[in-house]
Amino acid sequence: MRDLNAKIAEWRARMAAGGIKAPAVLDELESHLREELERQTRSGVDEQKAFEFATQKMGDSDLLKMEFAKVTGGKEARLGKVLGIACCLVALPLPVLALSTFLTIRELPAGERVLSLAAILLTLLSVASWRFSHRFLPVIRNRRARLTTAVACGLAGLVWLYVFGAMLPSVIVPHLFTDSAGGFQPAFIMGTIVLWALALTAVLGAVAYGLEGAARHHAKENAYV
Amino acid sequence: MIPKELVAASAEALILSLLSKGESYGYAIIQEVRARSDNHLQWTDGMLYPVLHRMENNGWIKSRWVKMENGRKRKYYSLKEDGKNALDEQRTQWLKVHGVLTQLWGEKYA
Repeated sequence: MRDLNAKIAEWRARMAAGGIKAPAVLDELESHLREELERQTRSGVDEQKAFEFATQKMGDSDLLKMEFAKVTGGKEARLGKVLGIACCLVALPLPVLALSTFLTIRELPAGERVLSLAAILLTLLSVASWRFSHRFLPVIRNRRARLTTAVACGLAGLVWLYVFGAMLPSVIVPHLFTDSAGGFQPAFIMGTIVLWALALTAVLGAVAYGLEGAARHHAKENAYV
Repeated sequence: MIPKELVAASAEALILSLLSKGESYGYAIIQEVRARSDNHLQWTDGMLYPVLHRMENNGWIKSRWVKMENGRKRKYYSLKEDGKNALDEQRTQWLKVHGVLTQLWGEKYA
């Protein structure tokens, strides 16, 4: 039995070296292998033969790795999703906090109110769109092109906010507040601009997150396996 | 023996149908499909798992690890609501294929 455990450990190491690295996947495959070994040895096959037969039946790591890669689209495909989530996390808090203010504040002119609420709505919609974005996002079949587009969108969302943040005190604020007689007006305009800047990041994040899902959804609809 | 393309094409429908009868784990799924097909439908054992994982990613099935009495673990899969819908859809498609073939063969041998 000790011998068998060592053999199974070796087999696991071979699978891992072949590219199947996730411990949960290896655990599941090992559990399967042990069931098969048990069945074989129970029916009288000797341990060595049972092990050879069971590992052979499991298939080689290259083939399995390829099949598992199709499931996740490879680890790289997650990068778009991670960047998308980052965009949404950055873009979400302020609009959520500002929502009640922009709904209730009396001094806010109708134009700014509508524009601000539209920006908040767009941000919320973008964040919620992970459920349905596959319906309207383009399907990019080429994996590399899809990943590049997703990463570019995600990065653009984050870089844009960084640039906007840098421009805010040095360009936008002096430009808006030149006329001190404006009262609250410049502050309202600035609020609206900030909300739209965040909305843009949220939209880019939603695209970065959703492209992989759109492609997978399309593949699912058009092929059986 | 059924060729591997057909085995692969029917994998999802088979798994969904089996799980609609109750939760199960990889090894048992393979054994049951093999037994029900008189050994004609055989997966390379490992190949079942990418399919299961993809179906889980699709939100069709869910999984949980169960610790057995002998200390070993098994990953059990069960059908989710979306999986039931997917099964309905696939059943319709397979019945359609089956219907056309039956019809054609009926004409041929009538």
